[in-house]
Amino acid sequence: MTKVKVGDRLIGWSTNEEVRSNGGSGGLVTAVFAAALEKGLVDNVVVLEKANQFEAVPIITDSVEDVFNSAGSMHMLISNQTKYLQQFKNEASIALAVKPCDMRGIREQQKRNTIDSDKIFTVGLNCGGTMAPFKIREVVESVYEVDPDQVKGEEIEKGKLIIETFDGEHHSHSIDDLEVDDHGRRENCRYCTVKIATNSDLACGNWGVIGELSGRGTYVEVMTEKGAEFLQNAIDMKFAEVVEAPEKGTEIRGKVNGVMLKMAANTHKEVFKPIEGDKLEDLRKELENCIHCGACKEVCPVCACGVDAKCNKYYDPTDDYDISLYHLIRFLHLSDSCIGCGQCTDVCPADIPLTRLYRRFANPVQEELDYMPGMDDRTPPFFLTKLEELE
Amino acid sequence: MTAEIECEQNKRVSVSREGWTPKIVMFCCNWCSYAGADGAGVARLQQETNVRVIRVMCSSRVDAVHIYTAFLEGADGVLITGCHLGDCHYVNGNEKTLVKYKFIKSMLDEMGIEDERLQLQWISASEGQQYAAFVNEMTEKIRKLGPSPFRKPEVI
Amino acid sequence: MTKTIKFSENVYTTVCPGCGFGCGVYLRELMPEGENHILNIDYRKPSPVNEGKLCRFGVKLPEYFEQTEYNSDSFETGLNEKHMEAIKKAADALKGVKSSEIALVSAGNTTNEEHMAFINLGKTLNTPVNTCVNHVYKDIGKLHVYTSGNVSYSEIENAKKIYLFVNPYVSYPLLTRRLVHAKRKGAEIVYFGLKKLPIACKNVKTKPCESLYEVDEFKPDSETVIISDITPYTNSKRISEIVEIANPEKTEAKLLFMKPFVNSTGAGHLSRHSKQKTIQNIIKGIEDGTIRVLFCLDTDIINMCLNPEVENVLKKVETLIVMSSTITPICEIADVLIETEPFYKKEGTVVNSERRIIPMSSTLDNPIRAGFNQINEIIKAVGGNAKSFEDTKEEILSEFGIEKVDEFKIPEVSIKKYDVEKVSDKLEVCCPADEPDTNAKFIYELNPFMWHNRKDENDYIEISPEFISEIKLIKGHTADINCACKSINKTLRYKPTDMENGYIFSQKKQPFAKAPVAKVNIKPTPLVKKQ
Ligand SMILES: Cc1cc2nc3c(=O)[nH]c(=O)nc-3n(C[C@H](O)[C@H](O)[C@H](O)COP(=O)(O)OP(=O)(O)OC[C@H]3O[C@@H](n4cnc5c(N)ncnc54)[C@H](O)[C@@H]3O)c2cc1C
Ligand code: SF4
Ligand code: FES
Repeated sequence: MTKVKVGDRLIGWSTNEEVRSNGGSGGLVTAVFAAALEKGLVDNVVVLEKANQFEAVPIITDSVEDVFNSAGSMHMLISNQTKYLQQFKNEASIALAVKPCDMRGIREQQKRNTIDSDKIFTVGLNCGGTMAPFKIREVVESVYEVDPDQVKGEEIEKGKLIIETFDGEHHSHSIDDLEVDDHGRRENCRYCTVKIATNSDLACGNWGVIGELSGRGTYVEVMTEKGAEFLQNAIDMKFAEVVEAPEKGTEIRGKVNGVMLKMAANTHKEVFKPIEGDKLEDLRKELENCIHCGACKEVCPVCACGVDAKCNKYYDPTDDYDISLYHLIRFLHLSDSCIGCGQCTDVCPADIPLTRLYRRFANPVQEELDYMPGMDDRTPPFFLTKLEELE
Repeated sequence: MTAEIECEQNKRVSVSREGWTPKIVMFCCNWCSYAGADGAGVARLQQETNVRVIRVMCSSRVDAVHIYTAFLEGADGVLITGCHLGDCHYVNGNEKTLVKYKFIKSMLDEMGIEDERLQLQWISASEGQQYAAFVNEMTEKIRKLGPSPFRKPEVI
Repeated sequence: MTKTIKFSENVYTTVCPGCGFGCGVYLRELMPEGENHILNIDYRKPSPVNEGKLCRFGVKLPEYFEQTEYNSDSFETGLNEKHMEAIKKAADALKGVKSSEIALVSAGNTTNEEHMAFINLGKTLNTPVNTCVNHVYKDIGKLHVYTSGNVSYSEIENAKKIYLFVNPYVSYPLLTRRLVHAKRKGAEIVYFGLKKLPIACKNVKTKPCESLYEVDEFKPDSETVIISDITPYTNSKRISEIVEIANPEKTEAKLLFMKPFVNSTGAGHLSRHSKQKTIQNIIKGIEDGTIRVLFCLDTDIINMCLNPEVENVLKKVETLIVMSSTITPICEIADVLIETEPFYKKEGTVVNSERRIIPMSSTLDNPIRAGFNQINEIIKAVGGNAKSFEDTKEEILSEFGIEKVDEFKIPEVSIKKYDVEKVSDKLEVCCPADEPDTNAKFIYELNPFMWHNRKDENDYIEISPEFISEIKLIKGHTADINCACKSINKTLRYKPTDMENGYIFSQKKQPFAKAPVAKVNIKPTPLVKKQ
């Protein structure tokens, strides 16, 4: 086979049978990481340290064995890879798997000079959505009627959340049904418009893997030179094997993506239907329980301000404003850059639907400017010096 | 359906129109409109008196923090003025003002704040006439709108 | 690629030590080769308590630990000479006095395992471990049945009626979201206090000392969940009235008592059989010389007391032994200081206010048990029988009547009544005399920053807009506040808050108020003319 190059669409898998069957679909991602570590293309890989099916933490490793053990997809791990990377202050070279929104955060940070793209290698995983672990634990008990401690694995297939128990049984429910009671994917995932991480080095997923390779291989689209280099390395080192993706597969991948995006657009319409009545009162009500813990800023993957940010410095706890300057400044500063990742809603101790509120201000601006933060290298519009550059 | 119990006591209290006069905060660029205001005064042009002028070194010095603070502290309208495009003393400050203005405008709109409450105008040092006209026109418009929804009863 | 540093990383699955809510959190310890470790939090979304969410205090945990922990690398290799020397000194002091002259204090800032080992030390020395929280009132022992976890946080969400006696926003912020959900499902939330809380549908003006028998709106029934708290400053009369009127055995009303320290409930439960001393009696004992050795396990009495004079009392005790995982004021005056590993590195369990037993673990190959081992060393040195970590764990499980720790299930525990020493049932009020010169009542809103003596942006008071105009405070300026006897004055910023007139709230310890409720005088800070 010829050398891997940018634009290639391939189906790949791990040559290690155990990894191949444990992997999300074929263990290709794991193989690429392991090969990169072995060859010294990177010093570290971020792997998942699993407590159980509901709980895992990303942790750095330089051992190939740890990488092999970490194969598989966790739909209930909503890690914040952008913030995770920032801890290292560009002092380590790291390879990691990311969701599309993680990658969007990383790209925005690259624009703001806090993450150095030379230091990282990213494999983007297709993402149809993530689910809150504690909520799913509850549904497993109440809807699936399965003891959560008996859960061996979890899988999403054809719109169903399948729970596998240690006794080998499979229990499944439609995600749509679960979502009626807000027990499925997180709200922002339901209207997210980036399902394939074309902003990363390698975009991987199981959509488009058909026939006998189904479940045993990953569809990979090579997005960058670095992506090509790392994939080639895995093939050269005999960690991975690839074949050309069949046209039919590519077609299916596109179709499924299209269906998902259509569903997302519908949810978007529903969530952001125009507010009837007093918009300001509505916003004030949504924010009335805020305790100003600052967690929403702390986790925000596109914010690069640190503690001395305008939103912190001009917020004064002795002000008795209807809506604090903290929120007003953040709404404004994120209106061009919010990527809708949902991290702020996730951490809010008052359960304020923050992502929805940030999107409320971001939607009109990003739409008008046709700007999708984190998807390319365009300067954030708010940083521009001339209005004409916006259009 | 279980509806959230309406809690009257936690509603925002709006200010009644009675006995209310608009309060307007105006940011004037030192190099143009501030002098324009001076010109208007010297020429004894008739002007509304509801405006509090704040001099800034360039329209681009006006940050969202200033605009929001003005509203939160009870301003019914905020006006920003600067040099005509191409005339900014700091080359392109007013271009940047335009970018910022666009975003703030969009945000205020999403919050249901009327368009007239925040306005941007280019007024040069010699345009005393235009200055007075702008102030009068905006005051009249804001008077028609009534108190800002951000305004609180205790703000005098 | 450009030059890089080698990193390694540990993740601790732990509990926030800020308050008794029991929020789950990950602490990330990043170790760049040859440099100091870097701490970060990560949100533990699978936690049944908080689903990863944290309050102002929790979000700042890395800063809290970095500023208060002892050099923690030293614990990973076991106990060193310095530790052993302190242990020997402590043991000698304990051996040198009668058991009635010893007071052991552990309020619940550490794990069940350490508390249990401490109880074991107490057994060896024939003296109880005092928790100083559950024992403010003579009847509290009987009330224990109701005050140590009777309803879970998730049950709050399904309540029809919720009676609040705590301000959730300030004191136990993670309650807020539970209340939000309850309200959305149609619950009626009534706040009995002096502020107007946005979350409440009704705010019933209730003064701190007021008898609940006189509050008509307090009518709990079977569908009511009552949320209050027990701290060293709780008005104990209020607690007993809540229990008496709610009469849970008859009405089936549910009671949730929040606690100030991470393991208050666990420590309270494990210490329940012992005849404990109250904190007031311990202080009295030190003053009159009947207590000669005071041993505090992760309990800073100086931070805990509103009256700063307690520091001088503590200096009087013959031997003050302090075993602590954090650098706090009491460590500075300790005669013997035993340093232990920071809380997030501890292995073991804690019990939160809903009585959930929460495990703490790490990605480390060898758990650090420095604190536990040190207590055991002391036990051995005073001639007792130290129990292994595993045996202690077993003992704790059987105390709670469970076979294994499962943080997703709250164990049913049969709780028995117990005795405590008799104390005054009056709410402690500073400068109680009716001073003609006071014009306001000052009230503390207890919160994690206050218990842990941490800085926050909270050095201001809250006061109602009407009261602001009445006493003519100027917008943007400050207010001067004096205590009744006028010996202390402080200038503070103020925040207009929707609340009763004539009261002042503070979230930070203030020098002019040495009790939970104090009479003060407030006036505008005189304006100084610029020369
Ligand atoms: C939340 C989620 C949703 C997905 N949804 C879709 C989808 O709708 N359609 C589709 O085609 N593909 C989806 N995928 C991708 C798919 O499941 C496989 O991950 C992908 O095909 C790669 O398979 P693999 O066997 O090569 O990966 P593996 O060799 O199994 O490697 C996967 C790597 O991802 C890491 N990882 C697993 N879960 C997470 C996580 N939550 N966050 C960060 N890193 C993680 C693992 O540590 C490992 O390094 C999803 C993946 C995830 C994590
Ligand atoms: S201080 Fe209490 S409420 Fe705040 S994060 Fe810690 S445990 Fe949770
Ligand atoms: S100097 Fe007047 S707008 Fe810049």
